[in-house]
Amino acid sequence: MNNDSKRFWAWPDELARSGILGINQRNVGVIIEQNPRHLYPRVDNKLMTKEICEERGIMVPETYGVLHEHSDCRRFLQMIGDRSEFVVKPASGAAGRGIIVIASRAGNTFFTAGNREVTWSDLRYHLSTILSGLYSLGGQIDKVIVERRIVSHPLLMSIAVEGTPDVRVVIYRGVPVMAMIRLPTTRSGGRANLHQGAVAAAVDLETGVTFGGVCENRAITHHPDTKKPIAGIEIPSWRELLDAAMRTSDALEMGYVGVDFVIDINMGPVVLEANARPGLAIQLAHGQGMLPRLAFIDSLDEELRVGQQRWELLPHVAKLSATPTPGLPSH
Amino acid sequence: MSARVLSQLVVTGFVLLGLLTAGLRYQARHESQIALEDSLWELTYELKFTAKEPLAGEPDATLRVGLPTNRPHLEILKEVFIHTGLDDVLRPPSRTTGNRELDLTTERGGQYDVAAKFKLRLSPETSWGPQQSMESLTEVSKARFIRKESDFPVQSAGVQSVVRQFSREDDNVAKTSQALFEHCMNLEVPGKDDFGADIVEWALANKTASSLGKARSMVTLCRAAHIPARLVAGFELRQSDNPKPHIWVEVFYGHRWVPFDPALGYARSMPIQFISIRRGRETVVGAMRANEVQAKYSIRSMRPAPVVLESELIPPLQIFDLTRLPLKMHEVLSLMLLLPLGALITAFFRNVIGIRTFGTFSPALLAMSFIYAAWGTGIVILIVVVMTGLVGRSLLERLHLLMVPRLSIVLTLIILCVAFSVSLLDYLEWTHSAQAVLLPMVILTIFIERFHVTAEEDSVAFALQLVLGTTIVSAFCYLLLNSDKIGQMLLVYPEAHFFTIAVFILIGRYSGYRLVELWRFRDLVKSDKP
Repeated sequence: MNNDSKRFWAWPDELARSGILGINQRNVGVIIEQNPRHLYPRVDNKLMTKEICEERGIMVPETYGVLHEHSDCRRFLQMIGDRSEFVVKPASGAAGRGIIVIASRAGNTFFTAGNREVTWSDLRYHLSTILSGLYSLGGQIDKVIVERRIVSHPLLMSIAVEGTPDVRVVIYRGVPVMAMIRLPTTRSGGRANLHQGAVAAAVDLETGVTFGGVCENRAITHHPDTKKPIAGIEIPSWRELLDAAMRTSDALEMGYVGVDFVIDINMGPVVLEANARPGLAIQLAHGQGMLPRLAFIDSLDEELRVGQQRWELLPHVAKLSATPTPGLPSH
Repeated sequence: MSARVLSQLVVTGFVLLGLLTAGLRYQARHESQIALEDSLWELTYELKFTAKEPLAGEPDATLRVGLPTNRPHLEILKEVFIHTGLDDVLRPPSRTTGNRELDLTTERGGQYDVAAKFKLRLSPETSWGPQQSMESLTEVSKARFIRKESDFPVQSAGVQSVVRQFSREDDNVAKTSQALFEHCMNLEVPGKDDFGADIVEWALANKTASSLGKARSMVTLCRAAHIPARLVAGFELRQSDNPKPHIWVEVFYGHRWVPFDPALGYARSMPIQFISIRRGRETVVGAMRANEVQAKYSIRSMRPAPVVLESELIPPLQIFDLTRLPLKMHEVLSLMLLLPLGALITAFFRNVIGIRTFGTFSPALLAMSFIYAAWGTGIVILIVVVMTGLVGRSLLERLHLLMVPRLSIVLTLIILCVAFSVSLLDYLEWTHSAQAVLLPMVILTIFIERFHVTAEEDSVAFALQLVLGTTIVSAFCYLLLNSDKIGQMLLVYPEAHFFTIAVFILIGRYSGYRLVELWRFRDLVKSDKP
């Protein structure tokens, strides 16, 4: 990998030789083939995702309550009781939009994790904007989920700023393909969203140790705010997390999903949400393309891709990267 | 069947459908167009001659009749020959002249009558465009067309002195022939007593020549300048009871024969109604051992095919032709028909290049609004709209309003600002009419709603990025939508959008890298090279 390459673009055949999955190939060759349209509500509606996970005994943040309409806003204070930590988020939001994390409160004044003051009037306004569908896909009327605030594992908090780092595992036909940890930065405003300037580091599927790193589409080695190296971190409870990821993808019945986790200090890996169109920046974090891994999984028999056998595959998948002359898998 | 194979089939289907309908209609249109412009003519020869009594060792008496030949603009629909007691032989077209001739021979002396009738179609438009077939002259034929003949006294002193005057060493064929053409064309019209007006030497010496004399003079002068030249005998197709064959000149330009008509002044090309019958001759009919040859010709214009007279009736297939609709609807319809092309550009930019825009039709609509408003006004409106929106949004933030009312206030503010700035522009007389900005305003207002929703949901930076993308793409749409030719073409052939659909499917199935990904993933390329 040329970290400090001066070039401004790569030729298509170079990308193909490096096994990079492009957005068109992802849409046409992977998503349309693997994710049936009618299953999308399972991931687009977080309430449904939560229900599916809870049925299977997969850890999700405890739900304090759901607001269905504007009149429910009045019940809100009653709903949270005297809890001083909670999260408010739209049920159909995408890319972390509309999420407010309350970390402490003084009476009816709340403070976010970034220590920004949110008055009750501010909060009620935010709840009604969520309900009126500002953050939902296509501007549909939405619901508000009020849930337990996940307190991230201190090991991970030490390298991030403001928000909560999350771990994304991309699963293809039931088998984890790639994983990365996303660390919020000052630039990203506490959101673990790569489009907004968050940092990502790849996670080795076999060991759960981070390597590589990317920020704003360029390879990096240190967190821009904390200046700490982002490689070599061992993700706590890694096998547990992978197990939950595989079971989530089995439950969703989708062939290509990204499952986002937060690692709670007490509960361990908790599923935050799933995504049926996971982005491609995970390849940047790895410094390598995803296609060889997808091709390998495509070449496997059905029975090797289910249940506990999958653990056997992971060491091999983790080591797969573009060989000098791979053919593009045809989907 | 896999989606890929299926979509390939559908693409092929749409392309074939487009080719079929457009092709059929093109042909139908073309044919009726041709039929409208075509004219039908009847050319009649009435020939009389007296054959000499046969003599031993002499060939039989022969009348050689030049016939019209199929040419790019001329089609012979029918030909009939009437004669009695004559043997007729249709000679194959000559290799040097392309002349088609009919030989009529007889072994018995006496008077003979011959009639020939041709039905001709003259088409201004040739089906394959103007044709200029290349020819080459063998040394033998070249020698034939520069040699001295009884009518072409190439070596006479009068001819040589004129040639010396006009032909310089460094001149090319075109220049020399033009100079000689002008000289012959400008010879005086002969009076009644000028009996030598047909004779080259007399004509050049007296600077007076008949039509035939001018043509002969030009051929002689060209040959004297070593340029192959010949006479052409033919007819001008126009209603006439007793037309005389017209004689003009052809000059060989090194790769083809080029016509000159010193009598009527046509140079390098003849109007299509002049049809050549015999090249290298000055008569339409030649005779051997025959006397008292009399030729009478007539040309009549004929009633056109019934199709032409019914061309106002619309065949069912022409229902696709939108140009038959009232003229007022044309502009709106052609803009409408251009919209899919705008969407095509947008889809191309998004899926192949990777530039994101607001929605699919926004760039095309934006471009359309710029066409209506003239781009200067359009840009002013755009800036006003974006600025007002941004300012209004930040002012309203403190009021904690719900989204729809808040957006509505922003939109109202924008409309007010646009209305005032339009009024200002009008006051300053910078724009022609307020009418011109109404449509752009409506379109921009829709556009701005998308902008503000994106700014709310995502971030202002992302919304501005989309504005930039939309502007770039709509600039390309502008270039396309602004073209009258394409709009006109689509009005005539709306089924061209079958191809558009095929291209959409191809873009929809395109799984290669987007152009921006070549930049985005540039760091991931494995450096196999040291």
